[in-house]
Amino acid sequence: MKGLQRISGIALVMLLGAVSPALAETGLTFVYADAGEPSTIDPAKANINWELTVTRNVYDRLVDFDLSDPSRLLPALATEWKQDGKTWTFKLRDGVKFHNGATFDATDVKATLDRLLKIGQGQSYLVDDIESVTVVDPLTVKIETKAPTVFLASNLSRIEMLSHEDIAKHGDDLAQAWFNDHANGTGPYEFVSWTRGAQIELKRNDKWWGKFPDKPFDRVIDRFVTDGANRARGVEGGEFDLANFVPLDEALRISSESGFHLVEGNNLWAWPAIYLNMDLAPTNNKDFRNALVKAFDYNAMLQSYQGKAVTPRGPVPSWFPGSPEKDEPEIKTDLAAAKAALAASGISNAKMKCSVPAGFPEFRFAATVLQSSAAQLGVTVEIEELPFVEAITTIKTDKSNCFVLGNANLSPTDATKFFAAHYLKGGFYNSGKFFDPTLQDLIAKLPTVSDPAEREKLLKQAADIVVNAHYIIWTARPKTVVPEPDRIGGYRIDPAEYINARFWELHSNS
Amino acid sequence: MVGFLLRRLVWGLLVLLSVAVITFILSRVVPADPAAFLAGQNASEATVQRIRVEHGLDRPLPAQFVSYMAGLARGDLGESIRTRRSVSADLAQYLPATLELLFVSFVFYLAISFFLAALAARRPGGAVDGVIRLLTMVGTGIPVFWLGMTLQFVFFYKLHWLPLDARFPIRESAPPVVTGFLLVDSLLAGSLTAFFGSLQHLALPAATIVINLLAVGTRLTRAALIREQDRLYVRTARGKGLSPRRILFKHMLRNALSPILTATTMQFGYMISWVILVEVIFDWPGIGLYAYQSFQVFDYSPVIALALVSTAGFVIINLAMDLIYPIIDPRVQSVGA
Repeated sequence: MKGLQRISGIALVMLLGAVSPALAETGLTFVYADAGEPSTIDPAKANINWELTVTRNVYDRLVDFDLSDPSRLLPALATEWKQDGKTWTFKLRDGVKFHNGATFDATDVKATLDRLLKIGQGQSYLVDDIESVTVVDPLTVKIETKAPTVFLASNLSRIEMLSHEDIAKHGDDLAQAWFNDHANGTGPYEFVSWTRGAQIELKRNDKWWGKFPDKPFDRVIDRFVTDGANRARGVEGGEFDLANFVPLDEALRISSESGFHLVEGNNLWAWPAIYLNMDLAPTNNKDFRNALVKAFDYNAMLQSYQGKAVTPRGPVPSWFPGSPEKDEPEIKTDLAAAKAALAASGISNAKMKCSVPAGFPEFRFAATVLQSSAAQLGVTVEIEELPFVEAITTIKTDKSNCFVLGNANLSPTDATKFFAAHYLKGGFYNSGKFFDPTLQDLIAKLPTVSDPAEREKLLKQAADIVVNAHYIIWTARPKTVVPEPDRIGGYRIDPAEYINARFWELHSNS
Repeated sequence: MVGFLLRRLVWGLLVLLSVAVITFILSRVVPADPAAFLAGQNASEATVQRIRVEHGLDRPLPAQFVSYMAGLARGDLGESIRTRRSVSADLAQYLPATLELLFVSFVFYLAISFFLAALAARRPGGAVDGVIRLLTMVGTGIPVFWLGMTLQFVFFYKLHWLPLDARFPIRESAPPVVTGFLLVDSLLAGSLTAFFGSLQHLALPAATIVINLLAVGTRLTRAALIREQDRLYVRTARGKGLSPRRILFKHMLRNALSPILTATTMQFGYMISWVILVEVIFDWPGIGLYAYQSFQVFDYSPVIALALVSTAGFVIINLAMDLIYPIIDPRVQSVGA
């Protein structure tokens, strides 16, 4: 027995003895706790936060934009660009190399955009108005659009450029299988490895054309940490340097501690937004929808966001270029008006089902607030939590009256792609099947208008149509808050992005 | 013995076939659309339909079933829509992490439960016996997820003794993958630092599993040891002046092992379900985490494959136990042997 005790004692000492060196930081390594593992790192398919974490940092785009003024575009792989009707001409940066040493040129731009549009997934919807791409010379590319669009350059700030050689040589499927788990970009970080279920490792590209800050990180570990509390605890305990989707109360608590500060910014348009089914009773009745919009307890949502949110007045947030928000009337709880609207609908003791994508506590909370708000009108709301695709399919196939979703827009200046996806016929997120012919025409016309004041006017008309249809309950528009350790610097929130890190801007403060 | 083995193998295959059929049907009953998942958000209906055809998801259910079973017969477990890889490749990557966790947990479970049982059996009904019984019962009564998070809170967050999650120190480079078992690969790479780093990451997830299993193992072993220590051969050994340690390890242990192994076989089922929770809590990249992430998006093929793998695990362990019993205890004869 004493031998066993002795062995146990030695094992414990060795185990604890190994702790210190193992937890010690080695060099300038940055660990980012991501909320999930990518399904793919193919830029033509990536569309979820943890997929974009990799693609945004490994690849470059033709243009960039000023995060503090998204309407100001900045050079990236293209140094100059101009629009002439349906034709855009981009002059490309000379001397840019892919991580494998190949030279970047106009052939790569053409191959990338042709591939993206053929695959038709990911962020291709942002540039689906491209008709053709022509290589003029190695450093000049012409892009023809189906109709004139002022937004093409800003939307290209979200499209990652691939190597035409990779597309050609890695299989006859547009290299889709290869790009799912390989990457070769021109960006600030190189893809090193993907340990399934655990992490993706990147290393800094010393030959990048851009400029790193002082003390940049040489190595980045993108770690998959599915539980929000674990991400928070890991940042707080120093295991992770930064994390996305840290629960709000944890973010506020951590940032109030010594050694941390809070980074705040705008990037969410509505979180959550409740979509009402226009085709299924009782939500196919406009007065009934109006009753729900007016009965909804917006203060409950604001309280849950602990002062870090406002109640939206419409779909487009005030900080978006050309937003009509300031001219829209306030939306607030008005139970008397809700009861009057319900009476006008002629509906009583209604029952409805609400589909909520699983894994988002705020979505569930908003559905619960709707449930209790509707109960005051005598309306029963049944909540059903499902995986995202199944939840949206449920409302699209008229098996549910409402669907809870988060709204953000990946284009820095173009609201029309958001409107097309959410409010136009056939739009992926137009789960309640909203249709208004005037809105369809407005959204088609808007990109063709070169005068910003005229575009603002059209955008207000478009927003008014959606607001007045009572199609959506925009429950809250929260700020994005991220606790950042004082030892890290350079983190900024991108207003046209989900909550991702631009690793090339981060640096060590220690 | 050969006839017995053949009968058990045929039964095992029948069980696996039944599980494959049931899980295939169940996975198709849920309102899932893998094509829509693969297409991703914002994809047009035309893109979704193209993907549906490419993956044969537009075909009638019986045709899909025949294809799936034909694939299974060839050892093809299908493709995961989430990871976009073959399920076999995924399992090859994830399985070693789970096996390593289960193996280490199992070894510690056997060692600790035997140690505690031996302590408790020295004076049944005494204070030590009472304390051990109480502690093991409390450990078993605590839900796995709560226990895991509490261990994280205490040992990572408060004491900074052990890491929060993962299999290996995040900021360090893991040894080259040879077997997929990090403890083994660390030794093969000649790195004791990597070995202890891996062990340190195993500590909390393994402790969570061990603490939850401990009561059953300890109580069964304690009962077996108490029963054995009253037997004539033990009294004779004592009369001959053998040391208590020699009596325990040389004579009593072998006779006491049978009930422990029986209980462990049954506990394997619990371990499979617990390992899912433990791997999710500790972000342990094994088949538990893989299963959890696959369930979340109704990823058909991994779900069926995982059901088959865990069933095969049950069948193999039961078969192994049937073979091991007669070796441990010659009084036991396999039925039909």
